[in-house]
Amino acid sequence: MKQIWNERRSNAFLWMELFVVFVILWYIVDVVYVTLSIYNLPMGFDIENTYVLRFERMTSKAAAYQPGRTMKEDVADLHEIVNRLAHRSDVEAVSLSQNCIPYNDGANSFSFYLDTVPVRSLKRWITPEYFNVFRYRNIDGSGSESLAEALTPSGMVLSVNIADVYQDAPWHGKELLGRRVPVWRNEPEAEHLSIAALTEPVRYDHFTAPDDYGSRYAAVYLTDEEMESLGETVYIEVCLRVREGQNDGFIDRLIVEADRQYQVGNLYLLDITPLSDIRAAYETDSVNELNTQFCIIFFLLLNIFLGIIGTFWFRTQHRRAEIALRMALGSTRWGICGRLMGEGVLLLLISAIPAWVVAWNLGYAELVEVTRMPFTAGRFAITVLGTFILIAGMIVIGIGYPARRAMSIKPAEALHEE
Amino acid sequence: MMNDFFFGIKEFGSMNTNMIKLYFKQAFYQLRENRLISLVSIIGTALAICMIMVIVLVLEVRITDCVPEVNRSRSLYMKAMSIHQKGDTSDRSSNGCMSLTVAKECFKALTVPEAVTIVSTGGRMRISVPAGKMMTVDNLETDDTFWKVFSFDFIAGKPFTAADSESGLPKVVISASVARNLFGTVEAVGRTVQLNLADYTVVGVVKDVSKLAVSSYAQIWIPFHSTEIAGKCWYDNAMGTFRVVILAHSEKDFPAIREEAERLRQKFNDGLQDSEIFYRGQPDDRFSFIFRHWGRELQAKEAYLHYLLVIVILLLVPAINLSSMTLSRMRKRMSEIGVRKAFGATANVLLRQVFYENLLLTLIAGAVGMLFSYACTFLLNDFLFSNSENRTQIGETSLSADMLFSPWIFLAAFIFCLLLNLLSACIPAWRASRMNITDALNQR
Repeated sequence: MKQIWNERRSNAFLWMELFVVFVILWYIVDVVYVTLSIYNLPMGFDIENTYVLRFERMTSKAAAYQPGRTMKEDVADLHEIVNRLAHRSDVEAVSLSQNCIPYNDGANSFSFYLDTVPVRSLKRWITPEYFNVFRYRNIDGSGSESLAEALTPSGMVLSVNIADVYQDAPWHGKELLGRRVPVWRNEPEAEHLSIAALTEPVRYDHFTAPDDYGSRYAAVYLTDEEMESLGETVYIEVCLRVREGQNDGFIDRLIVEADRQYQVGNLYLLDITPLSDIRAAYETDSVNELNTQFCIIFFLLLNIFLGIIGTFWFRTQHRRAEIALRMALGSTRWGICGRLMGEGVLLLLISAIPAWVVAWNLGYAELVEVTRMPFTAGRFAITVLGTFILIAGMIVIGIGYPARRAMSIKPAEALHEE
Repeated sequence: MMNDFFFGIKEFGSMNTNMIKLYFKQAFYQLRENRLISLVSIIGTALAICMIMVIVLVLEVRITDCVPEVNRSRSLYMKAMSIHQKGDTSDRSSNGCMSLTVAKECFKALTVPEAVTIVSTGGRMRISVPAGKMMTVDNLETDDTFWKVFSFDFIAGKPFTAADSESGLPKVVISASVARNLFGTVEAVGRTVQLNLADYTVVGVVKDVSKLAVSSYAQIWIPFHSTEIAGKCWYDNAMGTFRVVILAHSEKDFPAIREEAERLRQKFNDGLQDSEIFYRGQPDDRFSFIFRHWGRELQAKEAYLHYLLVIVILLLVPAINLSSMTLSRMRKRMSEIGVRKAFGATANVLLRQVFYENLLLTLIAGAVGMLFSYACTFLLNDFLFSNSENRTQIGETSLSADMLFSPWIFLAAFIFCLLLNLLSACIPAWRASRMNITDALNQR
């Protein structure tokens, strides 16, 4: 302690740097902690081996165009295509949906009433096979097959957490099962749907918190009449799951047969994309932000490392005589090394204490990320400790090398230099 | 201190080259003397320079001229427009791209600019050779002036003409990689391809375009009258699927062009019954263009602030760091300085020596940092340049030399080096040189 005070001039810089870096680093570590802990929560569905296909109607400029076909016929053609896809030996399940593939850049909304409480959520406008394609899970543990059976034009499927944010709602979670509720309007003559099954919560993407709007949905049956009213088949997504182990080269195999097998009426295959690509595209901005934060952490730590090694290099060289004397008087190498490192860590502690105060106040004033996770004492403790360990690690490495160099000298030699 | 520094600069001119050589030689020996610490200082400085340079480079690639967008500096952009009921003062509005009618009447009709091109927002098309290969590509539907506003490298053939564009002839320009994929060669002019199953003739093959050329990137380009895209419009035929790029004779014409565009807008609104269109400050210059998100007011000021804040933070830490390192280096040489002062060296001479030493160090670090930053930009290409807007496109965010190497960036890096050098070295050096001789000798 006394030594730190004696070296206060050069320590002042180090102290200042440690203080500034501690606060900045803590802020970023905190954001990264929030992001990563949300990232690793369960998603509630599975997109491995899944693809989305789009079929468009050709124009009169195409040679194979058949004039005079109606949208009703187009939808029938689409069903025929789905049928043929489902009969492929390498395909497990095929579904139709509108504006609701996972990681879609847009979504429909839906609302229904629980007694007098309006419940708003995402709308999953799908055919029953959708649950099998994306492997949603029934809360009773029976997997996705039971969900596909439950979804009918008069029965919808909800995520179990759909009413959790509505404190006034009369029913929550499992109590919802089997109830008949008015949809869109709370009137006796409004359309009523029954709640036929509940699934585990499904998050929108890896960066969406579980209590977010994007983590609640209501799945409603997409009927043929509704598809016809959309006007274009290209707005309807055809999603399919490829059987385990047959995923390699699936796109190439499908494209070779596309014109012969999957061109029906005026419809042709426009595009086929793996859902993993859609996920990558949708999450790009969030992933980039996370990577940027990692880069800044790396940059700051490297700077601390360089600062420490620079300062302590001269200091240990400067104090070679002292070190040598200590060694001559019987201190072990580890003892001296520990002493130097203790000095560094103590310096960090001195700068960290005011930094903690600043950090706690920043958190308390909610200037940190609080929309996705509340600022709690636990979160503060974890992030502050994490930051401390990161910086302390850098200090230990930064001091270790010059200290070892200084100690390798023979005591007599150093004393002789004096 | 600044006086001393400027004095040093003034003297610089009168010094003979041998002197300077000597100074640099001295500095070089000093750096070699403390290898580790020099290395640490160089890496520290290089790291800071690298970080700042990467930020500047990423911005630079999106803003400055590069093939095929060689005229970015004298271009104005209309990314989106808005429409609402006449006299509506709430912020309710419909936002999106414009219809062909608006593009023609409000922008194509402009007389001040050199050229105006109408470009579709882009989408995917299926391209195939009859009974041959098939692939999905990104397409743009545009007109003949597109080829004047942007400068493409044609490997074979030429662009479609004004007549082709007007009458919507099925002609297509394709990129080299598409040609190679479909035909195995870039000599594809005159061959027939099917776009969404309709026959088109290939008239030109161009070098692949990077996705970073956001206004001109595609893999195939066709005249918009050759499809039914012009019919896709709504809200009094004002909203649609088109954007506009305006090429001015020079930057000085921007105000005149905006003024004329405003006149045309009012004229167009006079012809509308209940609604009116507005642009929220567009047409944009390049910087505003990349920070505009379609339906919203421009947030360029926030973008500036954001960059400034990041740079200040990234500068602050290494600046403290380097000062601390230089300070401890100075402390070590305190006795040397004391001896030299005792033998009659002036503060000025000492300061100059320290300055040269640090200049050399920073120059080396600057060069290393620049190399680092170019390496980072290439290696981290995907992370630095991909975003949710271009990620869904098929092509590559490839970088070319002309995007990265510009004199402006060298100058910026050099000034930055000098600034860091001044910040970190001259203050402790000045203080050291002012120190009492006896204090220095006693290492106090």
